[in-house]
Amino acid sequence: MPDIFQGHELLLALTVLLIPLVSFVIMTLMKGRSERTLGSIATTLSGITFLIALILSLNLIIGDNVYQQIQWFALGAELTFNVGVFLDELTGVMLTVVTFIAFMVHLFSKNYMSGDKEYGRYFGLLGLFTFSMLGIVIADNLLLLFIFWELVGFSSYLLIGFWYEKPSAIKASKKAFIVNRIGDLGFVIAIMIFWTEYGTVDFSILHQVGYRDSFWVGVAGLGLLGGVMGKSAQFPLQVWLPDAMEGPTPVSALIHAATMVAAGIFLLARVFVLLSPQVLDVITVIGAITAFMGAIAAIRQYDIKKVLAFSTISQLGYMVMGIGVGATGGAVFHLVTHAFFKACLFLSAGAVIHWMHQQDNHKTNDQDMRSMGGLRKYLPIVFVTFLISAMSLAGLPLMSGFLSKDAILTGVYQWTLDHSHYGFVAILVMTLAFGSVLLTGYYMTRQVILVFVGEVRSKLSNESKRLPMGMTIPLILLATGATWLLFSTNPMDPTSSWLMTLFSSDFEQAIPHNIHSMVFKIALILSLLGIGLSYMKFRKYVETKSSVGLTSIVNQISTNNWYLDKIYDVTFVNAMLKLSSFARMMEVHLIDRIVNYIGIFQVILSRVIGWSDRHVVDGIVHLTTSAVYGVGKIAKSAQGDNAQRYIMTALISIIFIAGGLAFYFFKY
Amino acid sequence: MIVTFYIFASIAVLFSLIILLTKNVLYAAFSLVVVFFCLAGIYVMSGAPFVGVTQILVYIGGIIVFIVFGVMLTNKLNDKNVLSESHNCVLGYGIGVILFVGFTVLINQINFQVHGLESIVNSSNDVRQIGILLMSDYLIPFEISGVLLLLALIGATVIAGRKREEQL
Amino acid sequence: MIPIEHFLILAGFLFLIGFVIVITKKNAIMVLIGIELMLNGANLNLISFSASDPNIGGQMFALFVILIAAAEAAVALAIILNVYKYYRTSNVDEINQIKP
Repeated sequence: MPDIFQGHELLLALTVLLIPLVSFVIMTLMKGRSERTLGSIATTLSGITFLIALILSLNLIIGDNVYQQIQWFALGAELTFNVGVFLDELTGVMLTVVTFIAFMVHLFSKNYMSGDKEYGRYFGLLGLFTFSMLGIVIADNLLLLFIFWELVGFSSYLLIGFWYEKPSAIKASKKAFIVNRIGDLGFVIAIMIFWTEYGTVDFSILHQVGYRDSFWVGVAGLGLLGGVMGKSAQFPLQVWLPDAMEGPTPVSALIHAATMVAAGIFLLARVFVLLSPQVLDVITVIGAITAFMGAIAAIRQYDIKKVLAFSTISQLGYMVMGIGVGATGGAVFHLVTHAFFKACLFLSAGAVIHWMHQQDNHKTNDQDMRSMGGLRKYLPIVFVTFLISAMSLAGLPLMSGFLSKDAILTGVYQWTLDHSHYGFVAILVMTLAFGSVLLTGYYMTRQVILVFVGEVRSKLSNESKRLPMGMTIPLILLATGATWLLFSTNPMDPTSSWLMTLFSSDFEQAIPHNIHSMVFKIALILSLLGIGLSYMKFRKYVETKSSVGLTSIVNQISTNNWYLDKIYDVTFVNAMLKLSSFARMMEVHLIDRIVNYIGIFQVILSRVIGWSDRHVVDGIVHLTTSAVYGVGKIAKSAQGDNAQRYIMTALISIIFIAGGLAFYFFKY
Repeated sequence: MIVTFYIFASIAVLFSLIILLTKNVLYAAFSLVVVFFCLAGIYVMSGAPFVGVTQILVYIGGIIVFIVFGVMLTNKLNDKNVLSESHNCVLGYGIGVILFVGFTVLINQINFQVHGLESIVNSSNDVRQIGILLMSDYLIPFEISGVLLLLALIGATVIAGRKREEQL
Repeated sequence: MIPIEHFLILAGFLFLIGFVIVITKKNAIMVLIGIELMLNGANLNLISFSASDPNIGGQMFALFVILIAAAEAAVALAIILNVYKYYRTSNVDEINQIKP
């Protein structure tokens, strides 16, 4: 089949890129039409995009890489700048995953968003977001990638703040945007360094040249890491992701499962050959810390989406760690499987929220797990899909998450063996990585039990209400993707997966088989341990007051996400506020006071003169006082409200300064 | 040739003084047209015909129309004359005179011939050279200014077209 | 030949007239007219120096100045209209609040 499309990859890639943009334009132009029309058009376009992307990526995986570019603009004679597409296997896989998740989200949103008064805007923004994400995937140089990277940031800002009448949503979207900007500063610096060091930012040339041992290339690697920290929510910039749950739930599935946060991992995989060993070590440690912090924060949340948000942070930490230790194949593999099961989890959560919302009891929060429980009886399909994806996330056998997480953990284990001279750091990375496995099992079991098992903890008014077909189909499809079927012939061995044969690095291929089987056993035991502990604790869930001692400390840390927000508030935000209030103090207390004293002094002076003059010469009195009053008025008016007077004052000052200078230099 | 310059210059000076001294905003606007025309003439005779034509097209064709519309839209129609009052007169005129004297003295102090600048020669710079320069050396400013114009257009429409009731 | 000083003095004169208009007139549209005069004075300066420059850098700059002036006039007028809608006046000395 792919033969007919051979040689037309560029055309296909551009079609895939542009259809979502067309969708955005159509949605913007047809804002007022009925929900049915808008939803169908957007979903159909999204489906077509997926099909074309599938054909394209089959082509790329079977055939050769495609690398084509055209001249964008030229400055003078020698400096030309090219744009183009860079299509390899990684692009192919990413294209399929992104378009598939986008398609599922469109399908799901058709029902989920029904009744929202800005239906058209929602689908338009989804299209814009998909467009920018696909742009990142097919871009052939760092600068073009950065342009789309920023577009992703911007459209995610619009999507997170979609319900702009909610103050919390606006705050969350602003936070996401600003935190991302902080990271992107590093990205910009990295691009500039690559331009000066290599003379180009094209991936094809950069890949050929490879890593160059120089201080500045190392700095550039750190800069890229900064960008990744922002976009993929790595420590210490992960604070935006939990807040970003303010957006509509399908949006969370799209941007926090498959696309936006995956962009960082994709970037790391793209530039992997350019990263220096030291930078890779930093990446590993950052990833390990993030994975552990996310997992800890997830165990004590009560918002159904917050748990998933923190678990996303944790899983992203795994992927970054995978890149850092050199297991790029494992990282990409985990990126793909995570996209499937996390999208399924988010959409299932969306279905639950939708259903809770329909019960029409606005007394409780629709997203609070404490008011759920026992939903197994009412939402059997959602229960099954959620359970499958949760098992996949926890890394149980027969699931896709098991395979990919195993691949990363093997890499981490081998890295620890290779870097045993790091001592404490190496041990720490491994402990954090394996500890997070236990925690993952723990918090996912807790969530499943709180939501689906036991008795309903709130009053239901409309129990028979069923979910529409349009919502369940995406869930079932995604849940299928969460099992091993799509990825491997042998459900126990990650190396047999086709993704691993495509992407695994030399480092991964060199790992001996016995390490493999050992890691797999350790991970499975830890995961089961976590599940067991959680089951024992939450089997008969009743709300309890927090206990004392170690657990309460962990509770506090978890509930408040390691107090990161508070720390940032105290350090950066407060410092800024202090500085500005200090400036205001100076203004009010010093400058204003001086001006006031001058004014008062002049008034007193005029009074004194007036008083004395009244008794001496009546004629001079009025002249003098009015002159002094005039001076006072001028002094006062320097602080006045008139813009023209400001200009005048400035000009008078300039005349005096210029006159003084002229006198000084030319002795006029 | 030389006489033309001084004729244009004196007309420009005269009408700019009218702008300064008149109270009627419409008189000021029409005097501005005359000043612009004289300046366009001076541009043409000092070897910049393209800028002169642009001056006529953009300023007299566009900006003056803007200003006249502005006058009409911001004043009640039943007023007989559209008047503008002045303030800060003494200080403002004072600064103006001081600076003008300062400028004149400075300009006379500098010997331009020494710095390689000669008095105006009627060189014939054709439009072709401007076109080539715009597409080569000045490409980026040219592109950016295109975007800027578009933004100003949209921005002006949005700002002027907004209704306060909708905002609330 | 006309000495370049005369061009410069004319340019300075126009610039200062524009400047005096900007600081003395109350009507916002008069202020706008003053700004246009100032821009033209600056332009005359550029053009007169450009006449002895084979690369005509001054002319190019003058073109961009005209362009910016057009954009500025459009936006300024839109702002004046909006301000007039709110305050029912276009006198700059009566408009002294930033927040309505």
